[in-house]
Amino acid sequence: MPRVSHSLNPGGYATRSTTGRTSSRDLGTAVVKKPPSLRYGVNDEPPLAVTLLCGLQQVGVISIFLVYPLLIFSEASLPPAKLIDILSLSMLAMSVTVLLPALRRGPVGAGFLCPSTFAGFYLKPSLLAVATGSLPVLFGMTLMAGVVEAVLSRLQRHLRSLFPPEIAGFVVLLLGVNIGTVGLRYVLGIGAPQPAGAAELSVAAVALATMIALTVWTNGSLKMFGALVGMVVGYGAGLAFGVLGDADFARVAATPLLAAPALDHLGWSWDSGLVLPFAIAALAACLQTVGCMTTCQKINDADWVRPDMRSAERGVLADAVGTMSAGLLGTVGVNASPTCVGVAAASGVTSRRVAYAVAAIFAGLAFMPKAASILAVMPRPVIGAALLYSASFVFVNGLQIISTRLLDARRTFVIGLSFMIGFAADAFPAYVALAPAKIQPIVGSSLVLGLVCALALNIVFRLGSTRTGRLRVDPAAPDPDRIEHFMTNQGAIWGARRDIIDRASASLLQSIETVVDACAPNGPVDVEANFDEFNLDMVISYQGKALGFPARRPTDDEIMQSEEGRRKLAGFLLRRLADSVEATHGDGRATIRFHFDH
Amino acid sequence: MAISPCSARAPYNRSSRAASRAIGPLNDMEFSSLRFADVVVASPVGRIDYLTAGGLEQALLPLLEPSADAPPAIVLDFSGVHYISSAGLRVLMIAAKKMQARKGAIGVAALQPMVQAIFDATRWNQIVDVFPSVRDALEALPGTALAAWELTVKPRTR
Repeated sequence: MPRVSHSLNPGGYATRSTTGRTSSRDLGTAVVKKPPSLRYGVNDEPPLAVTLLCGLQQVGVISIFLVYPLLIFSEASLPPAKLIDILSLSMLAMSVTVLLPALRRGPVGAGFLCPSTFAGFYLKPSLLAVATGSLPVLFGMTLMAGVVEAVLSRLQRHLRSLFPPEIAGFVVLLLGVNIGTVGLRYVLGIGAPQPAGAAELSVAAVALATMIALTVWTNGSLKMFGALVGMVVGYGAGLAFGVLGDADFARVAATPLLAAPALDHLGWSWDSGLVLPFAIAALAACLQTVGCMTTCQKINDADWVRPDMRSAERGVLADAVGTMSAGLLGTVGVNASPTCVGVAAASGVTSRRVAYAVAAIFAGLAFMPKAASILAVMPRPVIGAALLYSASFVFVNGLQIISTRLLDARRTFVIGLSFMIGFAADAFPAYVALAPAKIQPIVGSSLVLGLVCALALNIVFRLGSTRTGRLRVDPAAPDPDRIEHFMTNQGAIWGARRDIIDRASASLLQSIETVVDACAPNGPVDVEANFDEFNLDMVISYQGKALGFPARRPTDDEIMQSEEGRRKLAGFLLRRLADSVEATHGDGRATIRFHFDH
Repeated sequence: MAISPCSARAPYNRSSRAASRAIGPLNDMEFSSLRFADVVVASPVGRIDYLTAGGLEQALLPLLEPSADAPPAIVLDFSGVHYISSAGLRVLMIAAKKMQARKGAIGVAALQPMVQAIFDATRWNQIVDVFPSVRDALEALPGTALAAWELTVKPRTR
């Protein structure tokens, strides 16, 4: 008997891709659906005033991270004037690194507002470099780290299986914890010459409360610039509570208003003993950038479903070029900033035009050393408040990314255990300090340690996992619980999207019901489900009559008054649930293939 | 087929409230209902498929048929329904037709994700109104049903 075969693409669910790759989610160039939470999306052109004010807000946030070159170059015991020169050059580096991710064409940049700031990853390797007594070693190794990150950027697609969404979300989650921990340290004065007293805590509380209040209870401009206003209020609180004092004012007064930064300290050198720490820092920066790119994709696209690795690849390359630029300009390594991404998301303005404004502002500030000196006296509690504010958004965003996927025991341990191990790096610093110096960049950072653990566990747990699930159903006694549990269980094993598993489960239950009820099956009904990151395919086969899949819903009268109408409704529902249905029938055996785009 | 406005009825009286009609298990589905003023909130729980759809239809029949006690509006609380098949959809269609015939109103509320996916696939929201919650459904109706429901659902505050 000839086999009858027909494919059905009902269009009930728009088929996004049949090749396993999304059409370009280059949000910088493609038309995407702006989420309702955004007032101005990545491709929008806000009014100049909005652009400038958002730019100032980002400048304020980015300036927080000037604390890293401050810390590092303070260790070098440089004269105050040279410190101001380096801060000014650091601002010039910021003007470059904020532009690179916003580029839309070519291999560099994914078109996002995703500024790079000075990164905590490079803190310890940079201190090691400074300890050699040679700034050129620091600048040369920073340049090398950028090259390493550029190489890693080309390996993104091949590393895709190591970065499933739950790990990308885990990175974002850890970033939030990381930022929040640093924020708490600043608020509490941990590591400062003196722990925070009532005055410092009050300044932090006033600044943070202002930021939160403006974000929660206001709309429009006040909400957009909540973080910036909070920081300004924090300066005022610092004055009021005496946290900002005469010494700070004197330092600022002594600095000229306009001057070009001196370049006589520039030079580049090499230390083979620092290759590993800087390379690991570059790896961590690469992974964080992937997380930031994921966040940018998610907050700018209402239809986001999974990370677009091509976009992430260009984002990482932009980050790498940024670090190279920083090394060339005589400062420390940079990295995509989840804080800045969080602030943009909170303000509802993610237009890349803001990046141009930020770049222009920083380019101007680079020649205004007085500005550098004002930033340098930002009260620590205000810095801490801003970090806590941003960390909240980043943390929750990570949770949201993780929760888009079903988790089985494997993934539970990948995320849960890795989180606790990573957190231990911050919770038990004395123990971590006992580790050899060369692995300090890994074990000394909760993010790096947690991520390395997650990646390792993900590789190990892939052992024994299968992408195919099989089920046999006895039509004389179909067990709906067992059928539903099969698909849910498989979804957890695969880490599949919840909504796709819901549809597949419904298809499977409906199929079994209809086959049992209307197709007179002679023997068991076999089910096989296959999954990869892009496709879920379910094949149901049985001996019995063929099922029909009408393109149109039967009429109300047909549904209510005839058996045929009921069967047509079942077939129509099955056709609409899947992205495509293919049915064959030959020699008494029917085979139905359901395809779901993932 | 919107929940149409109902004529005003007497305010909710706790002493005259209809008792919960717990039908009990219908294979793998439980069913109960409560009346709030002139609206009945019916709560099936479990799976509505070819095995249980007939039982649901039977449980709804007294509420659907025209009678002196028949409620002008019915809200089906689907918060406890995690799956509905074409057989269940058919029962909803029958219920909607019967209510329409006697100028009543019917809606479903609180769809779970799989049920929502099925409704989306078949556009069954064109057959019966869908609401995010029972509260939203009752709010769409005139009368005192919402107030009566809130008195029952919300704990008293001193």
